[in-house]
Amino acid sequence: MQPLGHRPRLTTVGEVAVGDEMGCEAAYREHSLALTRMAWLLTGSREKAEDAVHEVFLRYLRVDPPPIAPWSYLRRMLINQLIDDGRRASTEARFRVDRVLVFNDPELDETWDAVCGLPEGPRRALVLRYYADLPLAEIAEVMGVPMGTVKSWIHRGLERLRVAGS
Amino acid sequence: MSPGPSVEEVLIRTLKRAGELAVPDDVRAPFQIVDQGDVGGSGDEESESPALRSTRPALRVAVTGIAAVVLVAAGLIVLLTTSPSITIQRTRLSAPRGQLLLCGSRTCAASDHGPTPVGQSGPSAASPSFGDVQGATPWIPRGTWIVASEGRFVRMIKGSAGPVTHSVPGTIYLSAGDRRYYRFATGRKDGPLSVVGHSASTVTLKGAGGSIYVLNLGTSQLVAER
Repeated sequence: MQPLGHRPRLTTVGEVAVGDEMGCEAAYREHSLALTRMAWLLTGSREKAEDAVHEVFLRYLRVDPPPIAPWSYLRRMLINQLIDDGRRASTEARFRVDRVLVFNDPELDETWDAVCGLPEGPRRALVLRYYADLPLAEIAEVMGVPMGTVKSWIHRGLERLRVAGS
Repeated sequence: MSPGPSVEEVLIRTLKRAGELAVPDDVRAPFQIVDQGDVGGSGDEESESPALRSTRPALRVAVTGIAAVVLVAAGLIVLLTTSPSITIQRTRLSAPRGQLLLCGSRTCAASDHGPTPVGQSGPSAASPSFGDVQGATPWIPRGTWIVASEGRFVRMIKGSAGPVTHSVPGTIYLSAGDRRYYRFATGRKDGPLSVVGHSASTVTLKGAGGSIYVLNLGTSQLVAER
Protein backbone atom coordinates (compact mmCIF):
# COMPACT_ATOMS: atom_id res chain seq x y z
CA MET A 1 0.00 0.00 0.00
CA GLN A 2 1.36 3.41 -0.86
CA PRO A 3 0.12 6.97 -0.78
CA LEU A 4 -1.57 8.44 -3.79
CA GLY A 5 0.64 9.95 -6.41
CA HIS A 6 -0.29 13.48 -5.54
CA ARG A 7 -1.65 15.05 -2.45
CA PRO A 8 -5.37 15.36 -2.01
CA ARG A 9 -6.71 18.84 -2.25
CA LEU A 10 -8.44 19.67 0.98
CA THR A 11 -11.14 22.23 1.12
CA THR A 12 -13.28 23.43 3.95
CA VAL A 13 -16.69 24.31 2.71
CA GLY A 14 -18.54 24.87 5.93
CA GLU A 15 -18.28 24.30 9.61
CA VAL A 16 -21.13 24.96 11.94
CA ALA A 17 -22.08 23.22 15.15
CA VAL A 18 -24.61 20.50 14.64
CA GLY A 19 -27.45 20.22 17.13
CA ASP A 20 -27.07 17.57 19.78
CA GLU A 21 -30.08 15.63 18.63
CA MET A 22 -29.35 16.02 14.99
CA GLY A 23 -29.17 13.15 12.66
CA CYS A 24 -29.64 9.50 12.35
CA GLU A 25 -26.32 8.77 13.97
CA ALA A 26 -27.28 10.27 17.29
CA ALA A 27 -30.78 8.84 17.17
CA TYR A 28 -29.44 5.44 16.29
CA ARG A 29 -26.95 5.37 19.10
CA GLU A 30 -29.49 6.48 21.60
CA HIS A 31 -32.56 4.54 20.60
CA SER A 32 -31.77 1.57 18.38
CA LEU A 33 -31.25 -0.91 21.17
CA ALA A 34 -34.46 -0.03 22.98
CA LEU A 35 -36.35 -0.08 19.70
CA THR A 36 -34.96 -3.48 18.76
CA ARG A 37 -35.96 -4.89 22.12
CA MET A 38 -39.42 -3.45 21.83
CA ALA A 39 -39.74 -4.86 18.33
CA TRP A 40 -38.61 -8.23 19.58
CA LEU A 41 -41.19 -8.19 22.34
CA LEU A 42 -43.87 -7.42 19.80
CA THR A 43 -42.80 -10.01 17.24
CA GLY A 44 -40.80 -12.64 19.08
CA SER A 45 -38.41 -12.66 16.16
CA ARG A 46 -34.96 -11.19 16.45
CA GLU A 47 -34.56 -11.09 12.71
CA LYS A 48 -37.87 -9.39 12.20
CA ALA A 49 -37.13 -6.93 14.98
CA GLU A 50 -33.81 -5.91 13.47
CA ASP A 51 -35.32 -5.62 10.02
CA ALA A 52 -38.09 -3.42 11.36
CA VAL A 53 -35.69 -1.14 13.20
CA HIS A 54 -33.50 -0.96 10.13
CA GLU A 55 -36.47 0.08 8.05
CA VAL A 56 -37.58 2.63 10.60
CA PHE A 57 -34.19 4.32 10.60
CA LEU A 58 -34.19 4.43 6.83
CA ARG A 59 -37.53 6.17 6.94
CA TYR A 60 -36.30 8.42 9.70
CA LEU A 61 -33.45 9.51 7.45
CA ARG A 62 -35.97 10.82 4.98
CA VAL A 63 -38.01 12.84 7.42
CA ASP A 64 -37.63 16.54 6.84
CA PRO A 65 -37.56 18.45 9.05
CA PRO A 66 -36.24 16.06 11.69
CA PRO A 67 -38.74 15.43 14.46
CA ILE A 68 -38.41 17.37 17.66
CA ALA A 69 -38.81 14.25 19.77
CA PRO A 70 -36.92 11.47 17.96
CA TRP A 71 -37.76 8.76 20.47
CA SER A 72 -41.50 9.28 20.32
CA TYR A 73 -41.37 9.51 16.57
CA LEU A 74 -39.22 6.42 16.10
CA ARG A 75 -41.26 4.43 18.59
CA ARG A 76 -44.48 5.29 16.85
CA MET A 77 -43.05 4.52 13.42
CA LEU A 78 -41.78 1.17 14.62
CA ILE A 79 -45.02 0.18 16.28
CA ASN A 80 -47.02 1.20 13.24
CA GLN A 81 -44.81 -0.86 11.03
CA LEU A 82 -44.93 -3.93 13.24
CA ILE A 83 -48.67 -3.73 13.68
CA ASP A 84 -49.11 -3.39 9.96
CA ASP A 85 -46.82 -6.36 9.39
CA GLY A 86 -48.82 -8.31 11.94
CA ARG A 87 -52.02 -7.65 10.07
CA ARG A 88 -50.55 -9.16 6.94
CA ALA A 89 -49.28 -12.31 8.58
CA SER A 90 -49.69 -13.87 11.96
CA THR A 91 -46.58 -13.59 14.06
CA GLU A 92 -47.68 -15.93 16.80
CA ALA A 93 -45.83 -18.92 15.39
CA ARG A 94 -42.62 -16.95 15.11
CA PHE A 95 -43.09 -15.56 18.58
CA ARG A 96 -42.98 -19.05 20.05
CA VAL A 97 -39.57 -19.65 18.54
CA ASP A 98 -37.92 -17.30 20.97
CA ARG A 99 -40.07 -17.86 24.00
CA VAL A 100 -37.57 -20.02 25.82
CA LEU A 101 -35.51 -17.61 27.85
CA VAL A 102 -33.72 -18.39 31.07
CA PHE A 103 -34.23 -15.65 33.62
CA ASN A 104 -32.85 -17.53 36.62
CA ASP A 105 -35.75 -16.07 38.51
CA PRO A 106 -38.83 -18.26 38.98
CA GLU A 107 -41.13 -15.30 39.18
CA LEU A 108 -39.91 -13.88 35.89
CA ASP A 109 -39.84 -17.32 34.27
CA GLU A 110 -43.47 -17.92 35.15
CA THR A 111 -44.51 -14.47 34.08
CA TRP A 112 -42.70 -14.75 30.77
CA ASP A 113 -44.23 -18.13 30.11
CA ALA A 114 -47.64 -16.68 30.80
CA VAL A 115 -46.95 -13.72 28.52
CA CYS A 116 -45.96 -16.07 25.73
CA GLY A 117 -49.17 -18.02 26.24
CA LEU A 118 -51.37 -15.00 25.74
CA PRO A 119 -53.19 -14.42 22.47
CA GLU A 120 -51.58 -11.88 20.22
CA GLY A 121 -53.91 -8.98 21.03
CA PRO A 122 -53.55 -9.04 24.81
CA ARG A 123 -49.83 -9.78 24.60
CA ARG A 124 -49.14 -6.85 22.33
CA ALA A 125 -51.37 -4.59 24.40
CA LEU A 126 -49.39 -5.49 27.52
CA VAL A 127 -46.08 -4.86 25.80
CA LEU A 128 -47.24 -1.53 24.43
CA ARG A 129 -48.64 -0.49 27.79
CA TYR A 130 -45.97 -1.74 30.17
CA TYR A 131 -42.84 -1.77 28.04
CA ALA A 132 -43.40 0.92 25.44
CA ASP A 133 -45.33 2.96 27.98
CA LEU A 134 -48.02 4.00 25.55
CA PRO A 135 -51.28 5.43 26.87
CA LEU A 136 -54.41 3.37 26.29
CA ALA A 137 -55.76 5.72 23.66
CA GLU A 138 -52.59 5.46 21.61
CA ILE A 139 -52.54 1.68 21.90
CA ALA A 140 -56.11 1.60 20.62
CA GLU A 141 -55.15 3.84 17.74
CA VAL A 142 -52.09 1.93 16.60
CA MET A 143 -53.81 -1.43 16.98
CA GLY A 144 -56.93 -0.21 15.24
CA VAL A 145 -59.33 -1.35 17.94
CA PRO A 146 -61.67 0.48 20.34
CA MET A 147 -60.19 1.57 23.63
CA GLY A 148 -62.59 -0.75 25.42
CA THR A 149 -60.99 -3.66 23.66
CA VAL A 150 -57.56 -2.55 24.80
CA LYS A 151 -58.76 -2.22 28.37
CA SER A 152 -60.29 -5.67 28.17
CA TRP A 153 -57.11 -7.18 26.72
CA ILE A 154 -54.96 -5.64 29.41
CA HIS A 155 -57.36 -6.65 32.16
CA ARG A 156 -57.55 -10.22 30.90
CA GLY A 157 -53.83 -10.35 30.31
CA LEU A 158 -52.99 -9.18 33.81
CA GLU A 159 -55.49 -11.61 35.23
CA ARG A 160 -53.82 -14.47 33.40
CA LEU A 161 -50.46 -13.38 34.73
CA ARG A 162 -51.88 -13.08 38.22
CA VAL A 163 -53.26 -16.62 38.05
CA ALA A 164 -50.00 -17.93 36.63
CA GLY A 165 -48.08 -16.27 39.43
CA SER A 166 -50.27 -17.64 42.14
CA MET B 1 -45.33 -7.93 56.36
CA SER B 2 -45.20 -5.85 53.25
CA PRO B 3 -47.14 -6.95 50.17
CA GLY B 4 -45.18 -8.43 47.26
CA PRO B 5 -44.70 -6.64 44.00
CA SER B 6 -47.80 -6.14 41.92
CA VAL B 7 -48.36 -8.15 38.79
CA GLU B 8 -47.72 -5.00 36.78
CA GLU B 9 -44.34 -4.49 38.42
CA VAL B 10 -43.35 -8.09 37.78
CA LEU B 11 -44.52 -7.80 34.21
CA ILE B 12 -42.44 -4.69 33.62
CA ARG B 13 -39.37 -6.40 35.05
CA THR B 14 -40.04 -9.50 33.01
CA LEU B 15 -40.45 -7.61 29.74
CA LYS B 16 -37.36 -5.53 30.39
CA ARG B 17 -35.28 -8.58 31.23
CA ALA B 18 -36.63 -10.56 28.29
CA GLY B 19 -35.64 -7.76 25.95
CA GLU B 20 -32.15 -7.67 27.43
CA LEU B 21 -31.74 -11.41 27.10
CA ALA B 22 -33.05 -11.56 23.56
CA VAL B 23 -31.20 -8.47 22.34
CA PRO B 24 -28.02 -8.04 24.39
CA ASP B 25 -26.25 -4.72 24.66
CA ASP B 26 -23.39 -5.77 22.44
CA VAL B 27 -25.43 -6.48 19.33
CA ARG B 28 -26.02 -2.90 18.34
CA ALA B 29 -22.82 -1.96 16.56
CA PRO B 30 -21.82 -2.17 13.87
CA PHE B 31 -25.18 -1.73 12.29
CA GLN B 32 -25.24 -1.23 8.58
CA ILE B 33 -28.05 0.73 7.09
CA VAL B 34 -28.37 -0.03 3.44
CA ASP B 35 -31.25 1.46 1.56
CA GLN B 36 -32.93 -1.03 -0.67
CA GLY B 37 -33.79 1.75 -3.07
CA ASP B 38 -37.51 1.47 -2.48
CA VAL B 39 -38.43 4.96 -3.47
CA GLY B 40 -41.36 4.19 -5.66
CA GLY B 41 -43.73 2.78 -3.07
CA SER B 42 -44.72 -0.80 -2.53
CA GLY B 43 -48.26 -0.53 -3.75
CA ASP B 44 -49.82 -1.29 -0.40
CA GLU B 45 -50.33 2.24 0.74
CA GLU B 46 -53.77 1.55 2.06
CA SER B 47 -52.26 -0.44 4.91
CA GLU B 48 -49.67 2.16 5.74
CA SER B 49 -49.95 3.81 9.10
CA PRO B 50 -50.37 7.55 9.65
CA ALA B 51 -46.82 8.12 10.81
CA LEU B 52 -45.43 6.29 7.84
CA ARG B 53 -47.75 8.06 5.49
CA SER B 54 -46.26 11.30 6.68
CA THR B 55 -43.03 10.36 4.92
CA ARG B 56 -44.72 9.55 1.65
CA PRO B 57 -44.58 13.08 0.20
CA ALA B 58 -40.82 13.03 0.61
CA LEU B 59 -40.65 9.74 -1.25
CA ARG B 60 -42.70 11.14 -4.07
CA VAL B 61 -40.35 14.07 -4.29
CA ALA B 62 -37.52 11.55 -4.32
CA VAL B 63 -38.71 10.09 -7.59
CA THR B 64 -38.44 13.50 -9.12
CA GLY B 65 -35.13 13.96 -7.36
CA ILE B 66 -33.68 10.81 -8.85
CA ALA B 67 -34.38 12.14 -12.29
CA ALA B 68 -32.61 15.32 -11.28
CA VAL B 69 -29.64 13.32 -10.08
CA VAL B 70 -29.31 11.71 -13.46
CA LEU B 71 -29.12 15.18 -14.94
CA VAL B 72 -26.58 16.28 -12.33
CA ALA B 73 -24.50 13.19 -13.02
CA ALA B 74 -24.57 13.93 -16.71
CA GLY B 75 -23.46 17.46 -15.93
CA LEU B 76 -20.63 16.13 -13.83
CA ILE B 77 -19.41 13.98 -16.66
CA VAL B 78 -19.17 17.08 -18.80
CA LEU B 79 -17.39 18.91 -16.02
CA LEU B 80 -14.96 16.09 -15.49
CA THR B 81 -13.88 16.23 -19.04
CA THR B 82 -13.26 19.96 -18.90
CA SER B 83 -12.06 20.71 -15.38
CA PRO B 84 -8.61 20.22 -13.89
CA SER B 85 -7.95 16.76 -12.52
CA ILE B 86 -8.29 16.32 -8.79
CA THR B 87 -7.62 12.89 -7.51
CA ILE B 88 -9.08 13.19 -4.07
CA GLN B 89 -10.85 16.03 -2.47
CA ARG B 90 -11.68 16.07 1.18
CA THR B 91 -14.28 18.51 2.27
CA ARG B 92 -15.38 19.23 5.76
CA LEU B 93 -19.06 19.80 6.00
CA SER B 94 -21.50 20.35 8.71
CA ALA B 95 -24.61 22.37 9.19
CA PRO B 96 -27.02 23.38 11.87
CA ARG B 97 -29.92 21.13 12.50
CA GLY B 98 -32.45 21.39 9.77
CA GLN B 99 -30.03 22.70 7.20
CA LEU B 100 -28.28 20.88 4.48
CA LEU B 101 -25.10 19.05 5.06
CA LEU B 102 -24.45 18.79 1.40
CA CYS B 103 -23.71 21.06 -1.43
CA GLY B 104 -26.58 21.69 -3.71
CA SER B 105 -27.21 22.69 -7.25
CA ARG B 106 -24.70 23.33 -9.95
CA THR B 107 -22.08 25.32 -8.09
CA CYS B 108 -21.39 22.82 -5.37
CA ALA B 109 -21.70 19.82 -7.60
CA ALA B 110 -19.02 21.30 -9.77
CA SER B 111 -16.77 21.91 -6.82
CA ASP B 112 -16.76 18.25 -5.95
CA HIS B 113 -14.77 17.39 -8.97
CA GLY B 114 -13.71 20.66 -10.43
CA PRO B 115 -11.78 23.67 -9.23
CA THR B 116 -11.55 24.26 -5.52
CA PRO B 117 -14.24 26.58 -4.20
CA VAL B 118 -12.84 29.96 -3.33
CA GLY B 119 -13.47 31.76 -0.06
CA GLN B 120 -15.24 28.84 1.54
CA SER B 121 -13.24 28.52 4.69
CA GLY B 122 -13.34 30.26 8.02
CA PRO B 123 -16.29 31.88 9.72
CA SER B 124 -17.88 32.84 6.46
CA ALA B 125 -18.46 29.20 5.84
CA ALA B 126 -21.25 29.27 8.37
CA SER B 127 -23.54 29.97 5.48
CA PRO B 128 -21.90 27.87 2.83
CA SER B 129 -22.99 27.60 -0.72
CA PHE B 130 -25.50 24.88 -0.14
CA GLY B 131 -27.19 25.72 -3.37
CA ASP B 132 -30.30 27.37 -4.53
CA VAL B 133 -32.57 24.54 -3.45
CA GLN B 134 -31.66 24.82 0.19
CA GLY B 135 -35.12 25.49 1.46
CA ALA B 136 -36.68 22.53 -0.28
CA THR B 137 -34.06 19.90 0.31
CA PRO B 138 -33.63 17.68 3.33
CA TRP B 139 -30.90 17.77 5.90
CA ILE B 140 -30.11 14.16 5.26
CA PRO B 141 -26.95 13.17 3.47
CA ARG B 142 -27.06 11.64 0.05
CA GLY B 143 -24.79 9.14 -1.54
CA THR B 144 -22.72 6.84 0.59
CA TRP B 145 -21.96 7.86 4.13
CA ILE B 146 -19.43 6.10 6.25
CA VAL B 147 -20.21 6.79 9.84
CA ALA B 148 -17.22 6.46 12.10
CA SER B 149 -16.59 7.29 15.69
CA GLU B 150 -13.15 7.79 17.14
CA GLY B 151 -11.61 6.13 14.15
CA ARG B 152 -13.84 3.09 14.31
CA PHE B 153 -16.34 2.01 11.72
CA VAL B 154 -19.91 2.33 12.94
CA ARG B 155 -22.03 1.82 9.89
CA MET B 156 -22.56 2.73 6.32
CA ILE B 157 -25.54 4.55 4.91
CA LYS B 158 -25.95 3.92 1.26
CA GLY B 159 -28.18 5.56 -1.22
CA SER B 160 -30.74 7.03 1.11
CA ALA B 161 -33.71 8.12 -0.89
CA GLY B 162 -34.83 11.65 -0.37
CA PRO B 163 -34.98 14.60 -2.69
CA VAL B 164 -31.73 14.28 -4.49
CA THR B 165 -31.22 17.38 -6.50
CA HIS B 166 -28.04 18.07 -4.58
CA SER B 167 -26.70 14.55 -4.67
CA VAL B 168 -23.33 13.71 -6.06
CA PRO B 169 -23.23 10.02 -6.92
CA GLY B 170 -20.06 8.23 -6.02
CA THR B 171 -19.11 10.63 -3.30
CA ILE B 172 -18.07 9.17 -0.01
CA TYR B 173 -19.04 10.98 3.13
CA LEU B 174 -17.32 10.30 6.39
CA SER B 175 -18.74 11.34 9.68
CA ALA B 176 -15.59 11.71 11.70
CA GLY B 177 -17.18 12.41 15.03
CA ASP B 178 -16.94 15.62 16.96
CA ARG B 179 -19.65 16.96 14.72
CA ARG B 180 -17.42 16.92 11.69
CA TYR B 181 -18.22 15.49 8.34
CA TYR B 182 -15.78 14.82 5.56
CA ARG B 183 -16.56 14.28 1.97
CA PHE B 184 -14.32 12.43 -0.42
CA ALA B 185 -14.70 12.64 -4.13
CA THR B 186 -12.49 11.56 -6.94
CA GLY B 187 -11.61 13.29 -10.14
CA ARG B 188 -11.81 11.97 -13.63
CA LYS B 189 -8.83 9.70 -13.19
CA ASP B 190 -10.60 7.60 -10.63
CA GLY B 191 -14.23 8.20 -11.26
CA PRO B 192 -16.73 7.69 -8.50
CA LEU B 193 -15.65 5.68 -5.52
CA SER B 194 -17.69 2.83 -4.22
CA VAL B 195 -17.38 1.00 -0.94
CA VAL B 196 -16.34 -2.61 -1.33
CA GLY B 197 -15.68 -3.52 2.28
CA HIS B 198 -14.57 -2.37 5.66
CA SER B 199 -12.76 -3.43 8.77
CA ALA B 200 -13.01 -1.93 12.22
CA SER B 201 -10.82 1.02 11.33
CA THR B 202 -10.59 1.13 7.55
CA VAL B 203 -12.89 1.23 4.57
CA THR B 204 -11.90 -0.21 1.24
CA LEU B 205 -12.99 1.78 -1.77
CA LYS B 206 -12.89 1.05 -5.44
CA GLY B 207 -12.58 3.59 -8.18
CA ALA B 208 -14.37 3.37 -11.47
CA GLY B 209 -11.15 2.33 -13.15
CA GLY B 210 -10.68 -0.57 -10.77
CA SER B 211 -8.21 1.14 -8.47
CA ILE B 212 -8.47 0.13 -4.84
CA TYR B 213 -8.09 2.62 -2.03
CA VAL B 214 -8.09 2.20 1.70
CA LEU B 215 -9.52 4.95 3.82
CA ASN B 216 -8.11 5.08 7.32
CA LEU B 217 -10.93 6.19 9.55
CA GLY B 218 -8.59 7.31 12.28
CA THR B 219 -6.48 9.62 10.15
CA SER B 220 -8.93 10.22 7.29
CA GLN B 221 -6.06 9.35 4.97
CA LEU B 222 -6.84 7.67 1.71
CA VAL B 223 -4.09 5.55 0.23
CA ALA B 224 -3.93 3.59 -2.96
CA GLU B 225 -3.39 -0.13 -2.82
CA ARG B 226 -1.73 -1.97 -5.62
